[in-house]
Amino acid sequence: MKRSIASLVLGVALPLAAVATVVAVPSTAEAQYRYGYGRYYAPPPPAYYTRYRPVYYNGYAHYYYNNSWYYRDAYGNWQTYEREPDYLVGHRTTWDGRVVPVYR
Amino acid sequence: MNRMGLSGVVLAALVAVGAAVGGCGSNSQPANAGGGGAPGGVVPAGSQAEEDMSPGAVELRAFHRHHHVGFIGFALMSIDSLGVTPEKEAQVEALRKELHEKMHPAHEAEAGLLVVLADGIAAGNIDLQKVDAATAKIAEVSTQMDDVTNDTLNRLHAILAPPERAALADKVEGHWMIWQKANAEEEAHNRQHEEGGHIAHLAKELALTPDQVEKTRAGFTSQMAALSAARGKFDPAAADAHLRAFSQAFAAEQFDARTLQTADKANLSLATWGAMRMARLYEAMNPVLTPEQRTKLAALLKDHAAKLERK
Repeated sequence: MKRSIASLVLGVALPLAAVATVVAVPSTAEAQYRYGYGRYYAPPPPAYYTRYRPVYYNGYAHYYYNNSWYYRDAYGNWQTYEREPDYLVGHRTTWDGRVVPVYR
Repeated sequence: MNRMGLSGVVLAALVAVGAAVGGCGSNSQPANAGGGGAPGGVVPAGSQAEEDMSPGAVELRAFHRHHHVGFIGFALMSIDSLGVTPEKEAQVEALRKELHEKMHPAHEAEAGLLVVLADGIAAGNIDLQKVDAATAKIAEVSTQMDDVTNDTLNRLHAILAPPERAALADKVEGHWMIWQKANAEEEAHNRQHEEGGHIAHLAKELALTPDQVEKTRAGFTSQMAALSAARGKFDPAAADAHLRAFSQAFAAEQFDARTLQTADKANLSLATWGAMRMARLYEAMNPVLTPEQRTKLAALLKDHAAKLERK
């Protein structure tokens, strides 16, 4: 009996949980990725966006991270783009110069 | 499979499903990005990618392990990376310097603790009464920083455009998250020897042997367990409340820092815990160091203290 319950859990519930976890929108500070437009997105971590001068575009501070632009919308959600806005293209090449020293 | 093991599997499955479902429920509609770029995946507030292990990020975490000024300190650090428009740069820089100068008592108090620790390490015996006194001074000063900096913060708000205000609030939140992870994660106390951890950082600086690292880890874990038993675990509630209040207020068109009633409690909480944690790490490390390592660590801490006092 125990073996069959365990099998059920391992065979059904865990895979279900794994699938649900992958497709769900993460909600905690430790959540990792969001799948969209054929690839996974991960917003910049605090140790990244606290060190870079953003590019202001369309009313939001944008950060270039792992080859994508990210911004936090009015709801506090991180957003990215399927296609890079023209305005931001030119800022990509100078992005590395926007990092600041930790403290002075 | 025994009963305990089966229960564990069931629990893990339920927790995993529950977490996933809970995450779905928190989704909100993305704003229209417009401007020629189609908005992509939305990631909820607070969601973060994997830990940044770049040298700059490691340095930032090390900074937060040694500085416990509180939220005004986070705001000060955020100004540099705001990226304001050129016509505002001079004004914002002047306010940054003003804020910095007003925080001198906090930097001085932090330097005081570092000197106490450095002297104790050099002597091979840290004076715990002096540590407590220096920690109390940091705590006392932390509750004064809010009052002396309110006016500067108000003038900074008046200069910034709404997106810049939002960016500053985001960065303050980011620094709070880094500080919390660096200092207050209960489960992280016994992992400070791992990459990016406090002990790992010092192991490189001082060329600690694996045995010294392990003894420091064990000692620090024990010290933090004793601290939690005596005072309770770090409670982020006051800091979270202040962050919410500050973020909402700073994003508004009208802002008056003097109306925020949450700052003192939050800053006191951070300053006290951060200072105690830092002291306990050095107390745990001190007995396992060689005389040469003691000399080097004491010099490092004194050098850092001197920089703080010059600020």
